Amino acid sequence: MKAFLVVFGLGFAALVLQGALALTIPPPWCPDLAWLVVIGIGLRWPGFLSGLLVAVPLGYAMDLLSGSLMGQHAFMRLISYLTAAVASRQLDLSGGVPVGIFVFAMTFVYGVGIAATSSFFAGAGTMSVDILTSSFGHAIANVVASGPMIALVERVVVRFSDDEVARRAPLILGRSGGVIA
Amino acid sequence: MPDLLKRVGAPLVVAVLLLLTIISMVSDRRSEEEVGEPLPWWQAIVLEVSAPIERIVSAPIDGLKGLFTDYVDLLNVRSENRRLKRRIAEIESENLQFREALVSSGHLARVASMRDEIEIPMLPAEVVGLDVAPWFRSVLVDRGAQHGVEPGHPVITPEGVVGVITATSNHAAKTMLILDRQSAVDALVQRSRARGVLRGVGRSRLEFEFVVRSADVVVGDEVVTSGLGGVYPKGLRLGRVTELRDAGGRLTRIAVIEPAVDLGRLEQVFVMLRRGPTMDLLYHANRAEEDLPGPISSGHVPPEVSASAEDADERGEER
Repeated sequence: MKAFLVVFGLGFAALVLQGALALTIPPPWCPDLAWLVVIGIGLRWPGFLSGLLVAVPLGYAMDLLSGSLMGQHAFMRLISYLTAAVASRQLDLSGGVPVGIFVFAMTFVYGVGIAATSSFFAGAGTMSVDILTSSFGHAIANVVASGPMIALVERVVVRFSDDEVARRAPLILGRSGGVIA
Repeated sequence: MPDLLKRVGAPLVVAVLLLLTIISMVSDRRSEEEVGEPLPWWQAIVLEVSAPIERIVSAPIDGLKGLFTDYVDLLNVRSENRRLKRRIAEIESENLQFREALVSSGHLARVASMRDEIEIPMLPAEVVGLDVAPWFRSVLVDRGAQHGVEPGHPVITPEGVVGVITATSNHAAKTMLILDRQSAVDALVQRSRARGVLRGVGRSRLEFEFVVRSADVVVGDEVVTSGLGGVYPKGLRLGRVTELRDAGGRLTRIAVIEPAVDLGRLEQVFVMLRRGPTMDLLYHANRAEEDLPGPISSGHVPPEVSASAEDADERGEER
């Protein structure tokens, strides 16, 4: 519970900080620190369900501070968290380079997802090359900030988790019952 | 049974959360179209907490930036001063000619009375946060419902239009910039009066789509609000035409507009404490009929700025 609250607090602090930072470092060059916390939780958080319960409220908080539809960032953060959680259990994402590549790719997925949901639910514009160009700059900023942010999440997890939670929780995938520890 | 629960537990929670977020998006769209009430307390609390913290966090950064820009400004102050003096002289001369023309045509008294009618109270506000996601264009300002700010109020600077308030808490408000993909403003070319819709495309430029393909417009023309959309008053500066091109297969033409306001460097803005007839209809849709005619959104706004009931008929497509 303590780790849950601390990680949630960290995510919210990141959200507020990035809003203020954006006044100096204009988008797309300002990193999405709160999203990186969600990615960090997906990659390093031992519990699968408790991580979900951090990622979604952080997404809703972002929706309130952003010009998005309510639930749009929450939806994309949920997808990001699930992808990170599954990828970290299937691939070796322990080093800085693999994490950087993962963050870079996920930023594009996030951008396309936002454009698609905007187009579908709000009828706002269409998907264009512009989405990819703005995502490129944003992806570079996110990769640069991913190292310290994910290390911070990892440190919080190690510092505040009790022994039981600190073990990597098994993720049960589908009917086959394949359990990945 | 516990084994089954364990097996379906995670997928079930994921499915419920996915559904919840999708329902949120659908219901948010519906609420934007139908109700548009101020945020409920559990949503407003995020704005309430964020705005003061963002203000504190950005203060030292702003201070450092201010020191640098003050120094740079000082270097240019003499030439700037000379240029401004010259410009004031030109404007005073033009003003004199206009007044002369108005007096001779007997319209001065009518213009003066119109000015009194449309004068709108302004509330200065500070931008404390910017949207980090590069796909949306919105800012957070440090004035909210307690200061009389309500969704639908236009936000401007002395240079021109910034956007419109979309959500408020007690001490903060979210503003959608005109650059946002969801923004559309009914506008006209100041010189030729050619009308069209100015849309945000998510970048630092705007696109102005003309109603008539043969509209008289050239690079350098000023674009202002037409007042017909029912959100912004008439005559506010939106930007300048920088490029003209065909609208890809459609029968209209598009002008690329550079916004009059540098929306990437917003610091202080003014909230116009008056809602246009369109926004009033949108945001009062679920209220009693007797509340409808007055577009005034706060109690301390003088009654003389109330638009007449006929104004409500002039609603357009601005958002």
